Order: sequence, then C-alpha cells, then structure tokens
Amino acid sequence: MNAGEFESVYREYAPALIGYARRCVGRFDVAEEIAGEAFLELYRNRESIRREQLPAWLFTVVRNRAIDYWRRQRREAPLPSAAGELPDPAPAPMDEGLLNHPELNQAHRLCLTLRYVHGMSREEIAEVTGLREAQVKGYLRYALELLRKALAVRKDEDRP
Amino acid sequence: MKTPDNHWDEQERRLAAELGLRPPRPRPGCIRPDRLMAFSERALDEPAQREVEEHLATCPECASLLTQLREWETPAATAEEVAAVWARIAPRAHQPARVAWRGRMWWLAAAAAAGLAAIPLLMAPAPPEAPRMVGRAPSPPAIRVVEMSMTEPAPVRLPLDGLLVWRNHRAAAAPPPETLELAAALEPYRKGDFAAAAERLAAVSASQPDSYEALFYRGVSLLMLDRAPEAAASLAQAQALAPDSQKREAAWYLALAQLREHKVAAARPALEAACQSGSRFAPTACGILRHLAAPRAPTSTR
Repeated sequence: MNAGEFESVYREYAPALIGYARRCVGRFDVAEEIAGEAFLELYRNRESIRREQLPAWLFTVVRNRAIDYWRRQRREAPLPSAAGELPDPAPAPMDEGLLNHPELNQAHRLCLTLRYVHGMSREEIAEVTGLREAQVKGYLRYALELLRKALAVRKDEDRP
Repeated sequence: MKTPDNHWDEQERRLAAELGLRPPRPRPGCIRPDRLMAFSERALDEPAQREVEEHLATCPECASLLTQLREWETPAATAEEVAAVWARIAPRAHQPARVAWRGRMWWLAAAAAAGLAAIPLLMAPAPPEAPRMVGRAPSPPAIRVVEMSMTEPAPVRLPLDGLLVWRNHRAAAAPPPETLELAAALEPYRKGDFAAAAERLAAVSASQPDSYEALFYRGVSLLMLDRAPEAAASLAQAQALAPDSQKREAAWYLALAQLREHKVAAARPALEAACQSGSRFAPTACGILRHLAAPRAPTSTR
C-alpha cells in the first residue's frame, strides 16, 4: 500500500473501525484514540501491508490496543471480585415482563435494562451503546410512556 | 459528584414513579456493562475474561445483558467524528489536514490539527500482531484473501439456565446432564485445543443431535484446524438449528468454511448479507467481496 492510498483506506474503514473500537472500550474518547493509533500503525507499516489484509489487520490492532487499555484499567481499579459471590439478593428494580412489551424495540429494551437493571446514567448508556445522550433520553422517555400506558390498560382490564 | 439521580430529570422521575420504579443504582458485585461489551468482543485480557465468565455463570441479569449487547449494532462513527480523528493523525501521517470528502470541504486549521496531535496517546506504539493464519498449501489468488481474513474462534455462549440454577447456592437441583456434557466438551475449546474440542464435541453431537452449540463449536474447531469440508458440514447443520439470535454468526463461519473449500459461489450470499448488515463481520465480509471482485493479473504458466 502506498502513501497515496492511505487516505482512501482511512475513508473506507474509519467509520466502522471507530464503531468497533467503541464496542471494545466503551468510551468515545478512548475509542477514537485507539482507532487513530491503528491507522497510524498502518501508515508506519504501509510498505508491508497488502490491501487485501484489510480491514482484518486494523481490527486486530484495535482489539490488541483495547486489551492493553483494559489491562491498565485492571491495575488501577481491579474488577470487583465476583467469583464465588452470591448474586444481589435484592429484587430487580424493573419487572422483566415490562421489558418484553412487543412495541419496545431493541434500543428501548437495552436503554431500559442499562438504566433500571444496571443503574447507568444516560451519559454512561450513551458511551456503551454508541448512541447520543439525546437519543438515550428519547428512547427512555418513549419506552416509559409506552409502559405507563400499557400498565394503565392492564389495571383497567383487571378491575372487576 | 455525579450520581444517577442527578441525571433523572423531572419527566423521567414522574414516569418512573407511575411505574413503581425506584431510582437506578449500579448493581454491587456485577460487571460494568462497558466491560461486558469488551468481553463480548474478546477485548479483555485472559484473567479478566475468566473473571467475567465466572460471574456470568452466577448472574442471570448480566448474562441477559450480555446477550443484548452482543446483538446490539453499535453505530458507526459520524462524518464529523471521522474527520476529527483524521485531524489528529494527519500530521503524523504526512497527510494534508484539509480533505474533500463527499463533495464537502472539511477545513481543519493546521494549528488546530497540531493541537489535537499533541494530545498524548494512551498506547505506546507496538508492532501489531498479524491476523491469525492457518498454515495451508498455496491457494489460488482469488482465495488467498481467506488466509488473511480474521478467523477467530467464536466466543463460548452456553445455555446458562441449568448451570445458573446449579451454581446458585439457593438452588438444590443440578443442571441437566446434557448441559454438563456440553460444558465439559467446551473446556478444550476455551483453551484453544481445537483438536480435542472437535473430538469431544463430535461425541456430544452423537448423543445430542439437536444441540446447536455442539455442531457450531465443532464446526468452528474444525475450521481452526483447516479441515474445511468437515467444518462446512458441521456448520451447515448448525445453521439449520440456530436460534434467530445466532443465525448471523453461524452463517458467517459457514461462509468462511466454504471459502476455504474454494466454494466462492456458495459463500457469496452469506458474505453479501454480512457486508450489508452493519454487524461486526461486515468490514471483513466487504473486504473479501471487494477482493473477489478485483480483476486478476494473468498468472504465468509453466
């Protein structure tokens, strides 16, 4: 691959590679750093990398960088020791049946789960999912409105 | 200090109160969702991967979330985000900071680009590992791309119901014997001993002919051993049994096995579907299709 091809390669693969990096590290800023570093690594090795090795080569670099990132995170803040611990005995704050409402789509369910089962803030949900915070707010609001109406209908039907 | 309550605005608070939901709180002892997502992409180091696996065996909420995260299609970066990363790397790649993409001029001031480039990177440069390649005899150029494809073993996902009940200290019942049999057969697979895994999973398939997992992981094991015809046969059977959430993955590995058999026409539909899907297989699938479509230079004859 020559230097002139670098920009076209970047244009072709950057959107998906940055998205993949987000899945690997769960943070916008870190994902953009490691994706950028992967392309720089490609540039430094451009004489030896063939076009047909892409995009697999780039994805491998991003994943390796992500492993390094999490390894450093572990050293600084070890994972909570979950081995051998009992699951949280408190009941789940959200009725699982509500999450299965047929009018909720995948995004609604994921945002509700991350918010009301796993206690994430909207900002954190945005980082994990790759959505904008405004989108997360919208999905949550729509889903809660829908469930509120469904619950009202259910109460009416249960009334003798 | 930020707390989830601070982000719980009045409207959400009102709606949640009507549904009887209490303010969201992180689950103590559970894996953070961002780490779970990384786990789904095998982007944690080995000790962390094992810790997550052990936790998943005891936590149905995290296991359920992992399924959702695996099926979630993370959006690709926007044009603005792509341009921002370009601004950061362009000076170091001796590229012009100003580029014209899709007819628009992205004007990136040299001073701003230099400023962005000064942001310290998290990672020290290190030689990247080459994508895994299975040794095989020389192949036609059209298929050589398969050797460059990232063929990674699929992460293990077991039907956890039985194991969860067993490992939960509040339950007395042991998991079904077939679940234990499958879990034992997958141990060599987890350790990368694909030959042993293929043999043990063949035995599981014989006793559990409807087990999608046994057929699928046996197929992937055979693919890793470059036994393409056997892999394709096992993966084809797995694809027929695959639940909806696993169909895409089964189709992907079957396509890779078919490519290794030089059956490009058979693999093409699955590659095209993957390329258009936006899934994590999409970039590699699109790369393979582009390579297959590229004109070939005539090869010399002896």
